[in-house]
Amino acid sequence: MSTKVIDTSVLPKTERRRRAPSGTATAAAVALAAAAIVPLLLGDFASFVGARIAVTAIIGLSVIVVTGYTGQLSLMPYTFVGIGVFVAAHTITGWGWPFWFAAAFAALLSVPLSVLVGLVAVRLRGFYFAIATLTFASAVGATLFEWDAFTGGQKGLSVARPVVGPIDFGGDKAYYLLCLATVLLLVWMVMGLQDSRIGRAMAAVRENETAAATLGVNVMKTKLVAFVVSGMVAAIGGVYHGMLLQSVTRTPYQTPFVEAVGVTLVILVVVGGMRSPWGPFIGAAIIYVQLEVFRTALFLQYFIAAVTAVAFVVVLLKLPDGLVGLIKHEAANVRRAPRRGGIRVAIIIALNVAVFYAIWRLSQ
Amino acid sequence: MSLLRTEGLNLRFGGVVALDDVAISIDDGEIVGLLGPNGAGKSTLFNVLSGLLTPDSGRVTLSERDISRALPYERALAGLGRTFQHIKLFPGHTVDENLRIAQHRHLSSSTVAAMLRLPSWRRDEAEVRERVDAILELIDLERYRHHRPGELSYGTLRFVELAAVLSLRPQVLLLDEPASGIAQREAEALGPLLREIRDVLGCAIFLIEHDMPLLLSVSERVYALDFGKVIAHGTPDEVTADDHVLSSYLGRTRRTDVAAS
Repeated sequence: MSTKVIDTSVLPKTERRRRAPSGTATAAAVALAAAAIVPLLLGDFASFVGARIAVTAIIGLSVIVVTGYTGQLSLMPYTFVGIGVFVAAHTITGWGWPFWFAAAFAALLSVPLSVLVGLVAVRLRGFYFAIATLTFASAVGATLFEWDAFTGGQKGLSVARPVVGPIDFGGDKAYYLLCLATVLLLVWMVMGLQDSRIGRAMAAVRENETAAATLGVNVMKTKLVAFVVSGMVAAIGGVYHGMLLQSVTRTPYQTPFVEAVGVTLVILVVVGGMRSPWGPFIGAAIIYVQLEVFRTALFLQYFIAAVTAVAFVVVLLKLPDGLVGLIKHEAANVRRAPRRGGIRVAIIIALNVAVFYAIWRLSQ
Repeated sequence: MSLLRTEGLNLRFGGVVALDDVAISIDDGEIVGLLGPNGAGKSTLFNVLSGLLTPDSGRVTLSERDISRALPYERALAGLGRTFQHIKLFPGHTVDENLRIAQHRHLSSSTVAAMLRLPSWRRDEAEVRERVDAILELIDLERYRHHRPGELSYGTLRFVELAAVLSLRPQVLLLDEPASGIAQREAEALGPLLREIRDVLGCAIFLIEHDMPLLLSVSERVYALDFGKVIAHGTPDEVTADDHVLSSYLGRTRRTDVAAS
């Protein structure tokens, strides 16, 4: 393209804005190290909760791709999780496949279903897309998951945790580290999508389908790609979910549970942050840790739903980018004014710790 | 050889005739104006040309290729760019990101390549950076690079939208009222800018504009539309002298001018 400059000096002036310098690498490294070590120090149960958080984060990444990036609300993530769960049961336990191969196979097996559903759903917008996925979730639950040879009928199936060479991932601590490593890999992959041809097309489709098409973006194909990638990620999550539980039945993947957990997952991702691959991880961590803390406080149990609802509404109103948005905002404050920003962060953390401590004391 | 041509376009909305046997033809590198009173069917014609509306009958060809049945994105890829009367940009994205989205046509890396950061993705991202830098330099929007549409004036947004559609490297550019809602000074800059774009990028421009001095000074040929029908076409002088045009459009403009003063 020619470098000839066309004069637009008649346009109003604005000062040039600079990108914030990134000092986040160290903070991220510290947070990751803490995420890897703290559950191990707290013991097997905490590691199990940690693995649950990581697995939920993997499944939540499927929501990021199709809903966060592309703006289409799919309510059938757990249908793909179900495929992963039962594929894991057959291939890992039954046929002795390595877990990573089973994960790749589950991802591949999800494609025909997501293409089938996708070809219908991508023609629809917004509300109708969501309803279509809901219907398919119910239909798959009533057909594929009713197939006893696939799901093991009422008894269900068992899934073994992997042993790779000398490393046994059977224990909760070791399995947690495996899940953490996987979620980091998948976050990295989904992050790569953001700054790419297809990721930008997804964002364009989310914000304005007509404008996207005018710029040469194939809207239906973009939605279909998002839906297929999302299904693959959810199926991989399903393999890890199966290994986490070690014993699986079809019930959670059938009506009415499959719809309910699908909606709950979307809420979790919205709280964590819809636009960032870290959102599901942070959302799952905050919600599951709280659930465990509240669980010990018997008399507070009944308030969990109310507290969650209030937190959700606050996020919707004040934090469109969820907790990831809050973290980014506070980090920017710290960079701009280290002392005042630091005090703000300290107060937020102290308030959280105080609430947790109070609940823990009250429950003793 | 005509680049963009329509034959016998007809479109009705219920009892309203929106397009009535419209035949137009635009040549390579030409700047052609489209005038007509409100509701004459100008934007409807643009929507039919860009594939957002399907005509009841008629043909649209681009470089002798029949694109009557092509979807909007296929027409964009075939070289038909357009802007809207009400600016359509991506509000959640900065100018830089908007223009990156607009480079879609020139990139090819796959989903897997992006997820694994393969060399083809790297090449794409290097290319997109270069292309956005070039278009920001061409339209001189560098200083707005990191602003979101909500932070910019309407006039600036018109230029951003223009930059986005030019990123397509279209053969034909359809501009729907590029001067509406922008300051007088900016509107005056638009005429030379459009000619510059045509000269630098070598694309034909077909524009709807209510700013008559701008339309008549920049256009080499003009079509006049009323009640969905082409009532006159020719050089700006010929069309403004046409009796039908005087009564349907310029007459009305004169009356509103009087009323406004």
